[in-house]
Amino acid sequence: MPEFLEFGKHTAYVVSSFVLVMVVLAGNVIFARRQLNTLVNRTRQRLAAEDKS
Amino acid sequence: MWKFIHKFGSPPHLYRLSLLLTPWFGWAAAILITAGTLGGLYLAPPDYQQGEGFRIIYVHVPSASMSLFVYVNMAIAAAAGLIWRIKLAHAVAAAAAPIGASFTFLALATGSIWAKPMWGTWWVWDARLTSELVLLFLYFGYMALRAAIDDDNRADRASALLAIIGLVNIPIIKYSVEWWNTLHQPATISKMGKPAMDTDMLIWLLLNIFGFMCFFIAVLLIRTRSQVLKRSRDQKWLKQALGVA
Repeated sequence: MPEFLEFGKHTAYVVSSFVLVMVVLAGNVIFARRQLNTLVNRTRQRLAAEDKS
Repeated sequence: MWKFIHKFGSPPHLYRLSLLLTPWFGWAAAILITAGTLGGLYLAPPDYQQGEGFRIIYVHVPSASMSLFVYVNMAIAAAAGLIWRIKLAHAVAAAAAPIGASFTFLALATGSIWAKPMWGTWWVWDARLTSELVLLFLYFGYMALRAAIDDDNRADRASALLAIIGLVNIPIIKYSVEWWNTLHQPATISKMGKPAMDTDMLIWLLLNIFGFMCFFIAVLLIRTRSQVLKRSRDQKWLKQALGVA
């Protein structure tokens, strides 16, 4: 394990906590942005379809 | 005051405001969380009793405090929606729920990882831990209730009632370590009195707490925009906002 990731006998606990938090935070951003993009595209299609009709 | 509240009830206004503010809060969150995490991991001195294991505090405490903060905000937004019939207040509450559930999950998970080396067990049915678990179920209940009702208006009202009733759990979580004899330690930072931490340790914790708060606002703004799009039928402003010719 690289030296900067060593925290004595608690290495596994400290590293896993920080990794878990960063993964969940990143997941929050990714899911929120993906949902928004999907809705933007769907709304654009709906508006275009309403215009045609 | 009423004008201010009703301005936030306007979808175009909220959508534009969200577009404008998201990058500011996003970058503030990235900078604060990076600084707080690196400082907590490498610059803060180890604890004299818990050694290096105490560093979990830098993600556990911000997650736990945000789990309560988000719930209170969600319930206030839900109450505003119920009382003043502002649909966008319900949208904000709905947008906050998954973020709050994530923070609650992180508080429980990192607390459990911290408990193993310090208490010798992953979990105890201690008042603080149990009430935090109830909070996670309240978030799940709120989201499940919204998903279970097809009619948006009924879903808004029913879930708002649940969010308001669930507020009872917040003081229980907060004061559980004072009201009962728990294994969980008392509050690290208190509004009254001196914090139980040295400044060299506290500064990085505060950076992460503010970083998590900015993160919440940034993601809330993105999710609120999704809710606004889902609920809006007015073609004119939607076309302008989405750049549809």
